[in-house]
Amino acid sequence: MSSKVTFSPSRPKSRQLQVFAFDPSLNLDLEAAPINQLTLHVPWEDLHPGPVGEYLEVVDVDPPSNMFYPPLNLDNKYLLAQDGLSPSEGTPQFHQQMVYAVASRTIANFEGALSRPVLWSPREVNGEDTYVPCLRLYPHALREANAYYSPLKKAILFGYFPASGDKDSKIFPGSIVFTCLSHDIIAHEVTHAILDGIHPNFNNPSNADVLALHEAFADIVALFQHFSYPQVLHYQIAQTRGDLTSDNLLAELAQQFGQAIGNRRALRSAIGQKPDPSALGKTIEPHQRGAILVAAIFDAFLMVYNHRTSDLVRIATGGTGILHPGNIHPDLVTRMSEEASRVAQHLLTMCIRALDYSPVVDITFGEYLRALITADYDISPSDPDGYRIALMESFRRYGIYPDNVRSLSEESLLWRPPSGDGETISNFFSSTNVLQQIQNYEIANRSSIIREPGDESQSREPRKNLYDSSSIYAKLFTGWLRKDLPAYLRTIVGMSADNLKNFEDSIRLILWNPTPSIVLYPDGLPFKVNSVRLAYRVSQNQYSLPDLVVEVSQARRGYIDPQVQNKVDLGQISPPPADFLFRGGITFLISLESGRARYVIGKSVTSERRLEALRRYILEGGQVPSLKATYFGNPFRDALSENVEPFEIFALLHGGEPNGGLK
Amino acid sequence: MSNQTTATDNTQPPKMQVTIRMYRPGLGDCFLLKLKKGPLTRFILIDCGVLQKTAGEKERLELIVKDIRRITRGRLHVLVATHEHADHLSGFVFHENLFLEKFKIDQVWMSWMENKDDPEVKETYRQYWKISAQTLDIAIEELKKKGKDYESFQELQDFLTLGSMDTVKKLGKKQMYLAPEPGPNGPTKVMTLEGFEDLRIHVLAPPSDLQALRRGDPPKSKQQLDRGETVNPSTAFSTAVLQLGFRTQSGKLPEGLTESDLKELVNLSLPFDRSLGISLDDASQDLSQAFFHEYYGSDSTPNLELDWRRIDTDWLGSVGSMALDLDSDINNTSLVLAIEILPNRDVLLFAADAQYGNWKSWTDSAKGKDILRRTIFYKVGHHGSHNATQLDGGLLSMNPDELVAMIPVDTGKAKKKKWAMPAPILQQLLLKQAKGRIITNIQEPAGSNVDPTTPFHVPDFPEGNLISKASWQDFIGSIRSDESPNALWVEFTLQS
Repeated sequence: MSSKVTFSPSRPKSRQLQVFAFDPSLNLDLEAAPINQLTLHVPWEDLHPGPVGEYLEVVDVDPPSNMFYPPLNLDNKYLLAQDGLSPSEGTPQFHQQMVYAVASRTIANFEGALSRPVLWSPREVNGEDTYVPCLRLYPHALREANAYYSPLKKAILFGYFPASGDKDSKIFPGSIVFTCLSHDIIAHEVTHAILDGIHPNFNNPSNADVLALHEAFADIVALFQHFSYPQVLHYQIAQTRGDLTSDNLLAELAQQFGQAIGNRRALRSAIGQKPDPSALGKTIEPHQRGAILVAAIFDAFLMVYNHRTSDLVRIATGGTGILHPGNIHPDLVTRMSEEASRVAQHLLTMCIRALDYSPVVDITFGEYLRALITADYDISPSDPDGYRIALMESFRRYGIYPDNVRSLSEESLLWRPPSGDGETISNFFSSTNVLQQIQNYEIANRSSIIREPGDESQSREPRKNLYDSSSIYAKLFTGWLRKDLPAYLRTIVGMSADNLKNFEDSIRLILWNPTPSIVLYPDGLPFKVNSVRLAYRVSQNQYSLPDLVVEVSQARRGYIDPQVQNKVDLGQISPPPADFLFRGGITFLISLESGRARYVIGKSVTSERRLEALRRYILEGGQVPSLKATYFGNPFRDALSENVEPFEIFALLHGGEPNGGLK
Repeated sequence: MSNQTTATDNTQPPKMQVTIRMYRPGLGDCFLLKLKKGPLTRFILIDCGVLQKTAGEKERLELIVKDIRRITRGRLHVLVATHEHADHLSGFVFHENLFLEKFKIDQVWMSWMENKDDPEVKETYRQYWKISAQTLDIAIEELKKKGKDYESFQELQDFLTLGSMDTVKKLGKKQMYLAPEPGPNGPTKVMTLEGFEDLRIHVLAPPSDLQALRRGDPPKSKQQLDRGETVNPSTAFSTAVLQLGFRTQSGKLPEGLTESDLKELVNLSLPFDRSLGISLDDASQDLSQAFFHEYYGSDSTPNLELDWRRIDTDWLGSVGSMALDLDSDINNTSLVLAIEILPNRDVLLFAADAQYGNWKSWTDSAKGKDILRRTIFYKVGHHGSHNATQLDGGLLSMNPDELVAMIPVDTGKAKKKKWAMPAPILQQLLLKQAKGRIITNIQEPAGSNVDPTTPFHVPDFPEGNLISKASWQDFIGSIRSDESPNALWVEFTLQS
């Protein structure tokens, strides 16, 4: 008897899709044309027409033109055989393919750095946070020179516009420029969305660095993502003879964007700004401020790249360090490209991982530096390649310093492990029953986190399960902080009621005795556990170790008049509507192995110094005044008030005014 | 002997007495200048208007116009209309008949920008203003229909009053279109009043290069496109809005644009060939468009899962920038006059609503700097908004020993609308430069809801040792206000 034998190939690991490496305007530049067509490898997933997948849904509706363009089915066998559609500005489906591909690539980079799936920020429905499975992409949403991420619609809206008639621009005037065809813009916007999912409070502009960081971070991801494309890198290094500081494609973000609206240099060019330590003190505008951070990080990249290629140059030049005129040896180009790619990937990973080591709210550039250093230290304690040194040196040159830090040295920049009462919390988490439940987090979510494509045994909705699990753990932590911790402190540690009040002050989190000015959440508690997620680090002996990152936030009503503030804080008067909300909170990094809180990164709502700084920031308008601000008010400042109408903060940030509004 | 004293008196020429009366219509400009020299008196009226939709605007303006008539006995030597915004011209429009019948107005002074016979004016300015204004109207209507935020845009729309200047022109016997006519040292144009040689009125702005004053790149007219100019982003945007208005609001098209013109513009600005998609209207009606209905839907078929994510009106948001550009461009057409009083050569500066660009066109010149140094009276631009007074090289160059400022703002109204008028930084600098000598039209007492008939609030003595008590008393002594229940005006008399 014969048995039936069938052959079913397993699912592929990746899908190849063609995109433009840079902006289509470069097609007009004969030299650059060969490198502009790029084939991206994105993780395989079964796709529906749209394309619609696990993380993304592309919906091609064009309201200004009153048009709808049919969706693309990337699983169509003709397209699978050809790496998708060939790049074409005139075919809307190619645009759909490109936004899908670059967005997927960006998501994959984040997942690689964080070793966990990307979750979008939840949507608030009737006061409850609701899971949002897919980020929506609208490739032709606006008729303006703009593109933005909408936290309200969990969507990215891309604009298109006719090129201006500037005769120096490379773009044919009148031809349409599509922001959805710019790799940099897509990566930038998707990064805003991903960051919003990890730190929703980073939308809250409580100091001049917050929105600037959002912008800078999005630029950094786009920039370094470019460096992961070998053939683009190869060509560029050959062109510049290994010198990446010269004016080159890779460093010019959104080049077409800048070209088309008449600025010949890209809107944000990381290279070309000489470090000026006093610049940060003079710059308030988010993009300009953010550009300083981007420049600092890019300079660190250059330092490490140059250091790592110096031996190659020595070998190639026999020690003189002077390369022959003309083209450099192709092998040398290959090696240099590999180095550039490696350094870029490492820095990108550092920048992404730093997000887990950041405060919950009100982040400053200096704190981000501390997060960068600490996150990298947790992966590579000895820093053999000097990344941390390069970062510290670069930040010093650009005048970026954290508060309360005496010097830019590794010891002073690392976050400290908790001491005193912070250590007591640490002990609480490592007590047996709590520790066991904490450790269960990884076990419960292993399948969601370590997903093998093609593994049929996995659950149908791994990301939703992860989201749900995080919500469950958030509730668990809420209960622990609310009831079990004080019980532990009273019985095991022997604290009295007064000591409990001091405890709250010292750990900088008001858990049990809120003053009347502390805002209560719908469940009546003065704090909220925002998220619980896993992060990984590497131990001294190369083991990968998981940490649980728990973010707790709270808010206090703020008043411009210090006397009113005082009266409300002391309960002498019932709180009038707040002039602004003063937010704070704690990020705990808890070792899953021992339960010890390795870091406790806090922003206290009882810090009078920080409150005063926010007061001053608000009174000074927080932003350069402009005609827009004259009529439309300052929405960035209004965003800090208690009952603010939701508005599109990124649309405002991106659709900025030329000349700073002065004309 | 006794005849000696009278002989000496006769050799002194009479001194000029200048009184500046700021009327209080609400948030708006209306200034009556009285120039008296011996038996001769001349009146100059600079603007007369209030923000549209101010409650009781028509009636209050009528009282003001009647008061002007009373004081001037119906004889105005010059009527200055600085630029085409409602808060400067609505009085003339509402009470056109009063002006025509009860006044005798010798000259109407306007900027060269109001001369419709000038081809550059007609084409580059008037056309695009109409397109932008229409775009704003349609966008507001659509947002209102769909229940979205539109109020802040509507408030900008309330300043627009295109065509009003035509009414104002007819009110006087002679129309003068003034330009600065710059020379190597700056503006050279000077106007004088008959019989008043001691008065020289310098025309400082608007400059002839208005291109430089424009914010952004405004929408193009069909004529410009026919001449080979390319479609720019504002044209693509306004075309889409005009098309929307035409389709869904029984669209009226702006003057000079026909239906077939619009069709052509629409085709020029489409991103893709029409055959590559279907219209949203067709898609929502065609139920076989499965993807469309599963992921997008339309307002006519409400669906909780889909409604929150639709982007039908998000694109209209950029009309805000267009409205701001238009507001700003019209402000920059402001006629700026420096009234110089001889022999002291003190200057009264009336800069209407000129913005930074308009200021820069004359403040950099030698003449401009000289005029600023001698400015002892400044009518604060645009109700004290930040962009309408040049600070360094402008306000900060004015005569700090004698400077008096008048701000035609209703701070209660501005606060209610959440407008930064006066802008805090400007207030601070004005306080220092004028040493507290600031006369604000309508100032809300803290926390109240003010209406214009609230009596004028006499300025408070400034803290911080800015000015001596004696000088302050002199200043306060030169201020008078309307004691009647209507509280129509406040005036300041220059010390001779």
